[in-house]
Amino acid sequence: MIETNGKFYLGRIFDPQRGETTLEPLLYDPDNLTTHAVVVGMTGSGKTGLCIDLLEEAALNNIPALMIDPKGDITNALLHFPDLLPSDFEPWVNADEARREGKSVAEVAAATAELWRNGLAQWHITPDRIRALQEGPRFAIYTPGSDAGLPVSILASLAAPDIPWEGNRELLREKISGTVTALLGLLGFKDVDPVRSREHILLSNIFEHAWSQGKDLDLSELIMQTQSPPFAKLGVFDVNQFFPEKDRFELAMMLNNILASPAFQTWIEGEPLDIGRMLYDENGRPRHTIFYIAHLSDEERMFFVTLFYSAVESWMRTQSGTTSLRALVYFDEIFGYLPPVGNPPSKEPMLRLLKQARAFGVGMVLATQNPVDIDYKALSNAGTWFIGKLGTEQDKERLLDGLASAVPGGLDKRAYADLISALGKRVFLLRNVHEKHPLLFQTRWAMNYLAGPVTRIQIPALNALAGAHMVTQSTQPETAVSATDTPASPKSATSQSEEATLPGTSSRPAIPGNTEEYFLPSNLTPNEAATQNGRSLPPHTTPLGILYRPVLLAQTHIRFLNRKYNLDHELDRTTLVPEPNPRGTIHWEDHLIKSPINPRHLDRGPLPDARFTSLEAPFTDSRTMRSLKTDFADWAYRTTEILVKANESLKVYAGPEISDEKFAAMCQEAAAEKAKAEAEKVTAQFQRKMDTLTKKLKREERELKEDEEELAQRKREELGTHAETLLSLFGKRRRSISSSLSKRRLTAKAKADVEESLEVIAELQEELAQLEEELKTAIAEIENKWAEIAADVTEIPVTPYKKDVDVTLFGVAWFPYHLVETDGRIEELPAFAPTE
Amino acid sequence: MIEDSNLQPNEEARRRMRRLHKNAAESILENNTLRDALTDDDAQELLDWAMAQLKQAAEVAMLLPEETAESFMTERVTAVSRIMRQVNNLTAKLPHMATEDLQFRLDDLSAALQTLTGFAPHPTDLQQLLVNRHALDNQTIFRKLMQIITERHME
Repeated sequence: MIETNGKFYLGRIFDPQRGETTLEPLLYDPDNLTTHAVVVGMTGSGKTGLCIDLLEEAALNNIPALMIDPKGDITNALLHFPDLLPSDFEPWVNADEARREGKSVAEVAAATAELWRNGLAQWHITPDRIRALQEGPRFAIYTPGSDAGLPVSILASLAAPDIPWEGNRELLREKISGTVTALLGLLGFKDVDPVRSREHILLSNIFEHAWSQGKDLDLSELIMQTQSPPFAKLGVFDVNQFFPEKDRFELAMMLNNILASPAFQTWIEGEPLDIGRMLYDENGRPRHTIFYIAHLSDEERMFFVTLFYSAVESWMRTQSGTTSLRALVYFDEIFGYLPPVGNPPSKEPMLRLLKQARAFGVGMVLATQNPVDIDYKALSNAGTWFIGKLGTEQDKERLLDGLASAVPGGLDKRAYADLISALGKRVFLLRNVHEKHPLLFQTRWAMNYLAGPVTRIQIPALNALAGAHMVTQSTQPETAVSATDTPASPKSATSQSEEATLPGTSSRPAIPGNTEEYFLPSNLTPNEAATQNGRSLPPHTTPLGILYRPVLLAQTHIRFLNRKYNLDHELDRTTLVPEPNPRGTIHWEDHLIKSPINPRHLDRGPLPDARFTSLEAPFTDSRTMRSLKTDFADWAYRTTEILVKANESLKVYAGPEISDEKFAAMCQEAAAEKAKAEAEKVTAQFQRKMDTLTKKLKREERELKEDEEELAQRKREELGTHAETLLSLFGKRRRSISSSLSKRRLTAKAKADVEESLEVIAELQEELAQLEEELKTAIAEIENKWAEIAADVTEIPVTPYKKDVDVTLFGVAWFPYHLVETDGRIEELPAFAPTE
Repeated sequence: MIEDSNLQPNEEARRRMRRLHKNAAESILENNTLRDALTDDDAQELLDWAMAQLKQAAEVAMLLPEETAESFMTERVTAVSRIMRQVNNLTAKLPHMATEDLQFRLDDLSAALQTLTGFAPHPTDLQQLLVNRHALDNQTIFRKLMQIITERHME
């Protein structure tokens, strides 16, 4: 038993020095196949055995595979018999060969079973491994254009792809071109030039017209539209000038002949060419699906191969990126499909897959026995080359030349030539870019019985052996979604009939150049959306996905700068216009929304599986959109003003960001300062007067003191004089009476002086008190005055400068709506609400 | 001795991808609504996860032709932001959410994860979150959501 650890057991290392196979197994990393592989070898080189080995290993590792089998060899991949009984082999051994050898079929079958048992044992392959192969993927053989195997309908190839037109325009145009070329090939047109052929141009335009609107085409519709195209002009010419009606009728008749042909019915019956279904069955089990095309004519083969690769490409684009091998796409003989010269319809999709499939984990394996007729430049993306025995020196030379041109930096041709010359049957040179050196190996014994090419009549038996039958429904595990799992996906939650009734299409309409495109995020659940609209959803509401409707999003950022008002204020004005007037007149103020939209909060792209309504004018007209933008900027400039709070007396100003309360406090503070200053000034004036009075008062008080002292002195003197006069009446000396009277007069005068001073002092004190009272009154008046001034607030409108009006968002915004089914009706609930 | 060089994207493709990757990372880093309900540590963890996803997507996109690389990256960025938005919302509001809102957000998370990685979270993990929501605190919810969005890759 070989331990492979998830690698492909393809054989054993071959020692070219000794010319013998070693015991060292060749284990190949399947992820290396994401860079594709090419198998080259002449008839009898063991190429088919190697390819069957490769496919067996893929099956054992649960890697699904699609195989194109132009010769019937690859159908051998169904001939695995775990018990290795002669009876297993008997239906498949070559009866003619048995006859020629003079043996019965049973004898040959027994010998073959024995041969296989021994062969497998030599390569350490046990029946368990064959059983694992049998229990692995589901095998089936499809026969396009025939019901010998499972029929496959190519009509799906005419349906609009699941990927949106916008963003995939180039790819889809290439797909259209390939499909139309293949279709014309089927009608007998040879070497069709997509740029010159009017048939090609007409049919391509019909496809593009339908697919860009998410509409499917079928052959009947294609025939009808060929007669009456859904457009009036092609380029600058009228359709009738470019392709007259009579000629179009002829082309339509040719198409109709195909449709009417009984033989063609098998092309449009059976399972659709749905790659997802061909890779996984309804239970998520991988499939190995063989498309047997040996019975088809060259034109039919080319037609199918082109449609097949285009279908693979479309499917691939809907997958997530991966570095692991997700699926194998095998083509058993690419001769004529990827030539170095010429451009058959199959070449373009094959080239694109060779370039791009790696990113999606899709490995292409291309086999040929004709190394002369392949495009080596195209194969420069192939990371693995399996080179077997070649028929002629010319083949070897051509291969080496091609390989050298395909390998970056070239290769050592001589060394490779020597190695290739040493190749025998079932010995291959492996050149793997993931390994440093090339090596030789001998392929292991195939677990499947290599019966050789199978004819069409054997296919039903092969399908019966594999239990193959039509798959009615399938799910891929990687994208598996049940109805309850992903209501976000319309397709997962809706039946085909509902799909038809849902508004919009799955294709995103193209936005004209120079017009910005935005995606508003879906930030509400259906329930939240209903609640925001003041209602509740009934039970059993089924979400059917997201529908995007275009709205005109316009947002401007305006800055107000004013030195006088000490103003530096910014604001945004945002409008969402659901259905702008097609002529381009919009009342912007009717569509203002409260919260601005932060560009950083917008989605970068649409949600997957979303639907889109169509774009109408003015969205489709760049000129109108440009003039609307100018109109919006002008409207914002003209109508936007802010009110500055102002107290002109205090020279206090503030923008809208300052509240009334705060501004009142600012004014009161400023007024208080003013009042304080004025009060200080008035107080100082009063103080000067009061100081003068105080000085006077002090002087009067001093004078009073002196007067009082004078009075006291006079009184003493007067008393003395009286005494002397009285004594002189009794003594010798006589004092005159007049002297005494004089003293009295002096006393009276002094007394009068005192009284006068007292009066003056009283007057001065009164005056001082009055001044103090006046000061108090003056200060109170000042305070009252400034309080009144503080309350005198006005609002001054300020408009922006034009240069300060900046349109930050303007264009088509896709507004998400939840599509929900309630009570049999389909409703739309806005899934976006601006956030603060 | 024969040596082959590996298949490598050219320098121009690398430059283009560096630009796309930078734009993608900026759009996630600058959108605070994708993490405003989380603690700083949790927000950092979610951002680290997002940056790793974008780096991986950029590496794949580098192999794509120019005309598809951009839409490929856009799809991935949209999926990453959807997942972050739901992790942010669910962490903040899950215990108080109506069942249908919660179911919708979990479904949306699941669909976005499928778009991003090709893998869907196991329905049981989502169901457990739905059933046990009243018993979970914010930190536990965040941990479980991170487990849901990261664990599938390890399978």
